[in-house]
Amino acid sequence: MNPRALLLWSAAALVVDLVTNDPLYRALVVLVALDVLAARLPAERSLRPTLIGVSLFGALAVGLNALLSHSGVHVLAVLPVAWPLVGGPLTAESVAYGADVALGLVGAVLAVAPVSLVLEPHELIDALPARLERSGLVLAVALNLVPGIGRTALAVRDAERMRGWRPRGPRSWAEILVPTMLGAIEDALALAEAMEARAYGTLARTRFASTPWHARDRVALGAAWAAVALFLVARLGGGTPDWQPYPAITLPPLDPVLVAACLLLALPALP
Amino acid sequence: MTVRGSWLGRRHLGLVAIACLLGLAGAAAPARPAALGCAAADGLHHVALVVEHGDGRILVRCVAFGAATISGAQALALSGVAYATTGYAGLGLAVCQLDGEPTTFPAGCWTDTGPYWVMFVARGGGAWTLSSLGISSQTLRDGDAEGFRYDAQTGSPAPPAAPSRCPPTSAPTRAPVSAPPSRRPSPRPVPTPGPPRVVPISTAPASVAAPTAAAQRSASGPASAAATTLPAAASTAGGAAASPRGRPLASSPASAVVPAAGVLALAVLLLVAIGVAVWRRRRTR
Repeated sequence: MNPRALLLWSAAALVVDLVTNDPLYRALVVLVALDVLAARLPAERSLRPTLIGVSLFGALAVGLNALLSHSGVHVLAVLPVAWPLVGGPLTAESVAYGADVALGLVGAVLAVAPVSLVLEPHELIDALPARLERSGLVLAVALNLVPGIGRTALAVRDAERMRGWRPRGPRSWAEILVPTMLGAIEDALALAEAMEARAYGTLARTRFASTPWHARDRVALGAAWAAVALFLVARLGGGTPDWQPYPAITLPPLDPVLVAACLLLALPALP
Repeated sequence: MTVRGSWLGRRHLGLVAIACLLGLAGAAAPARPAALGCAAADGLHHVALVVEHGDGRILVRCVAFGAATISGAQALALSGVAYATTGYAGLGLAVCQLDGEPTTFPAGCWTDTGPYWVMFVARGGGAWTLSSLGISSQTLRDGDAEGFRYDAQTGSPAPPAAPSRCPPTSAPTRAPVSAPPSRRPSPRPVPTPGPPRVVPISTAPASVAAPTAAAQRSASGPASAAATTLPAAASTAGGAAASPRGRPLASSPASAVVPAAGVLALAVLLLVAIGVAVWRRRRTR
């Protein structure tokens, strides 16, 4: 898929995820994003770390809202009121609202995940308009930062283990953290030198191979933004009222047309 | 990245197209509710209003209208029962005070623990369902019923008394059917409980004249003293007319939930099938 098309698809999915707080549409966006990631993810990359991360974030959102919000009429359990912040009733409504927030977070992360998981850094820079080239470069370097530090940390840990290091509480991890940070700084300097050696900043950037646009890229992108248009029209026309589980939990509103709009986002998942 | 295998793509494209068509069909074919007992009178459309107070008193009104649909707020306004509302996070208007209960209410309309007005809707003589929308966003048709119960917020909100048929229309107070849309209903005291007040109108819901503040105050007689506590927005005639007021709550009508749930289930199945197919293909690559 053309990198620019994938970037614009991510933007469309993100808009659909955030334009309403209806958990049903958000759940559909999550499913669609998972399908697209499964279809487009390079074979050498794994989706597992991303899934673990978003699952933890989602569980955290549900747990925090359940503990901190005590509104709602369906009481599941009651914590002692003397407990600061968390004391009081735990309600089904607060759990439901936390789940809605979690779905929004997970949907947003998965919607933009193809930008870092599917695209190579040079593809991301190519996908951005010329005026945003420097911003794209910063973004690409930042996206590479986390996995780069992760690789460095693993390498340092393996090296330390070969020297007899064993984890003995939080203090012992300083022996891994310090070399890791030093390695990250060293990598950053090496990247800067490599860019300077390639005359970065002196002339307009050259492109070594641009991915052509195919008809299916245009169709998938058109469908994605048609979905955005449907959601925006419904939103401006009052067709997607915000879901509010308080004070009594209710079924979220559902419009079959908007369900179909969510399905339009799934076209990039089709082979 | 290129993925080969067009047979899978064609099959899935077909499924997506079918799902989209089903979704559009589901949206265009809502179930038609059956009519209530009062619906046939005079060839007008009718909506029943049931108000159950915290002390168990039940107030029933039958509201007639000429247009095909009417909002919950318009029905409440035409019933002549005094009420006050507040906006509720994009869902419409919530009822803070109805028929003089409570005599006063907090600035936020209700509290997390105190009693509040819960709105229910019965479609075509069916059972009450909790309304997920405020009264300004709830659309009522001929034979539907709008119910309010002053709930103590101690558990699941129970519905009000059964949405019985509209009271007999033998002694209604009628406004001329040919009344101009801009004509305001004159203040008319209606004792509680008293004969149903039927206000036939021949105009579209958008042009239904809203009750003036005086009409709202006088409509429920004994509640007139309480009506002095209505917020400024609620006692503005134009505002009350143009933006109907309602109490947000409850689930979608059962008739709309069934096709919508079917479309949602189909969409989820489709997306899961695509995911499984893609994942299996990825693992065999």
